[in-house]
Amino acid sequence: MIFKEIFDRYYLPVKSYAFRYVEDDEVIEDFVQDAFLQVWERREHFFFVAAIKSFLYTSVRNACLDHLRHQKVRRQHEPELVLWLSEEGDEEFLLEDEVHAMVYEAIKDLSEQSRRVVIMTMDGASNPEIAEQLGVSVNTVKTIKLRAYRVLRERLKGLQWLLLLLFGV
Amino acid sequence: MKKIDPKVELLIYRFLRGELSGEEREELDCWLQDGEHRVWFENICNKENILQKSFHFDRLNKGREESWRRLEKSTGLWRRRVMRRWMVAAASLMIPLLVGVLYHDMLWNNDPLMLVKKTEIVPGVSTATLYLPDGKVVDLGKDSVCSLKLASGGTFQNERGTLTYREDSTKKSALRYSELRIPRGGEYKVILPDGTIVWLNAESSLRFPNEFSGKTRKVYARGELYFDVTRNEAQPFEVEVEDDYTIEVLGTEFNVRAYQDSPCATTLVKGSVRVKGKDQEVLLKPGQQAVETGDGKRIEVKDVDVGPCIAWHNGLFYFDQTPLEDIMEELARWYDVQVFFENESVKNECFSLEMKRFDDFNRVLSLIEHTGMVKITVNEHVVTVR
Repeated sequence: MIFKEIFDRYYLPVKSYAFRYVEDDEVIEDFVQDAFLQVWERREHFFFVAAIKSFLYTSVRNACLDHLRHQKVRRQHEPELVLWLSEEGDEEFLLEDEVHAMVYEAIKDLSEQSRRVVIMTMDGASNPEIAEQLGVSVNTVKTIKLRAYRVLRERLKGLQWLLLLLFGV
Repeated sequence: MKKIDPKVELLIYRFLRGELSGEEREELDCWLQDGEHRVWFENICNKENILQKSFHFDRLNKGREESWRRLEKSTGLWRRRVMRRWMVAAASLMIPLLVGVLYHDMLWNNDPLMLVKKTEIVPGVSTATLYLPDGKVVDLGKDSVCSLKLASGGTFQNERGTLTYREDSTKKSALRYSELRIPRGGEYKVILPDGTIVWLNAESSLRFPNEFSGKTRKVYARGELYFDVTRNEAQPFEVEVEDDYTIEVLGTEFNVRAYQDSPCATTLVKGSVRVKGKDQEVLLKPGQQAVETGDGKRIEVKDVDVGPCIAWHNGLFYFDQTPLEDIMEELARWYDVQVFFENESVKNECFSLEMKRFDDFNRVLSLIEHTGMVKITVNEHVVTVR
C-alpha cells in the first residue's frame, strides 16, 4: 500500500519530467509505468523516499534519452539536442512539479474559475481582492467558493484544510 | 541528479496551505537562505504557474488510472486487493489510513525502522497557533510566555494558556485580522481588547481584527467556542460562523458549536443573543439553543439542559444518553485519536457518561466497555470499536 502512496504522489511529477523530453503521452506512459514497476521489484533496496524519487526520475530520463537517440538515428539532425538534454536546472523543475502535483490533487475536480479562486485563497487573498483581480463581484466569488466547497466536501473528505480556507474567509 | 529532500516539497506545500508550524517555518526559512532557492520558491508559489500547471496535469493525469491498474496486475497487488475485499469494511478502511500515518513518519524521519513507534495517548493540552496579519505564525503553549508587538499597532501577551490582545488606540490603521487556531488535542483562551473572553475547544479557530473600530465588534468562529462578551450596547458583538449563521450579542455568555459536518448550535447561558440565519432571525433566552436544521436552511429554537452543552468549558465531559458515535467523535478530538467502528450498529447505542477531561483515556474507554455492549481496542492512535 505504501507503493500506492508513492505512485499517487510521484506519478504526475515523473510523467511531467518525461514529457519535457518526449512530448508523446503514450510513449511516456510506458516509461513511467516501467519506472514504477522497477521500484516495486527493487523495493528491498530502498530505504528513503528521496532515493525512490531519484530512481524514478533517472529511470524515465534514461528511457526518454534512449528513445530520442533512436529517433535521432532515424532522422539524422538536431545536433543541439545534446545541449538541451543536459541536467542543469532539473532540481528546480522537479521540485516545482512535485509541489504543484500536490496542489493539483486538491483542485483537479474544479473548473478553471474555481481553481483560480481556490489558488488565490490559498495565497491569502481576501474575497474583495479576488473579486477585483478577476473582475467579478464579491458575491460571485462567494458563490464560486460555496460551489467549490460543495464539490470538495463530497469528493475530498480528507482535505478539510481546503474547506476551512474556502469557508473560513 | 542531485537529490532533493522530500521534506522541502512538503514544507512548501504546507506553506501554501497556511499550515506551517513555527518549527517548520524555521526549516523553510533556513532552506530559503539560499538565493537560488528563493527564486525557485517564488516561481513555485506563483498563482498563475500553479494554475497553468494544473491544466497541463489535467492532460497528463488521463493515463493515471490505467497505469495503476496495470501496475497492480504486474506487481501482484491486484490479487491482494481481491482478497481484501473479503475483509470487513472498517478494517479495509483502516489500512490506508494507518499506512498514511506510517508513510508520513517515514518521510519525516527518513528511517523505515522508526515505522513502529510506541505512542501514549494523553488528554489535550493548552496549545494553539497564532497567525498574524503580516503572515507570521507563532506557536503558543501552556509554558510559553511571550509578548509580540505588531507593526500595525497592538500587542499580544501570551501567558499560561491565555492570549491577551491589546489594541493600540493611538495608531489608526487598516482593518487586519489575526487568527488563533487550535489543533486536535488542544484548547486555549483568548482575551480580546474589549475584555471579551473566548475559550476555544480542540479543532477550533477564531479570527479577530486588530481593532474593534466599526459599528459592530465582529469576529469569525469555527469549531467550538465559549464566549463571555463584555457589554457595550453602542457597539454590539457579532460572531459569524458561516455565511448564513451569525450571532449578534449585547453582553452575555454563550457557547457556539460549529464543527464540520454537524449543524451549528448556539447555547445561551446568560443574557440574550440574536441568531441570524439566511432569511430568519431568532432571539434566544438563557437555557435555549438555536440549532440549524439538517439541511442547514432553517434555525430551530430548543429548550436544552445547558450543563452538557458547556461541560467542556468546565473541564468535563458530560454525555446524557448520547449516541456512541458522537461520544467517540468528541473524545477523538480531545485525545487526538482516530476512531473506527467495525460494527455499525453500536454507533447508535446511547451512553451516559460524566468525567473529567483530564482523565486517562484508557480509563474512559474501560468505563464504556464495562457496560458490556462494546469491545474497544487501541493500537497506537487508532481506536477500534466493535
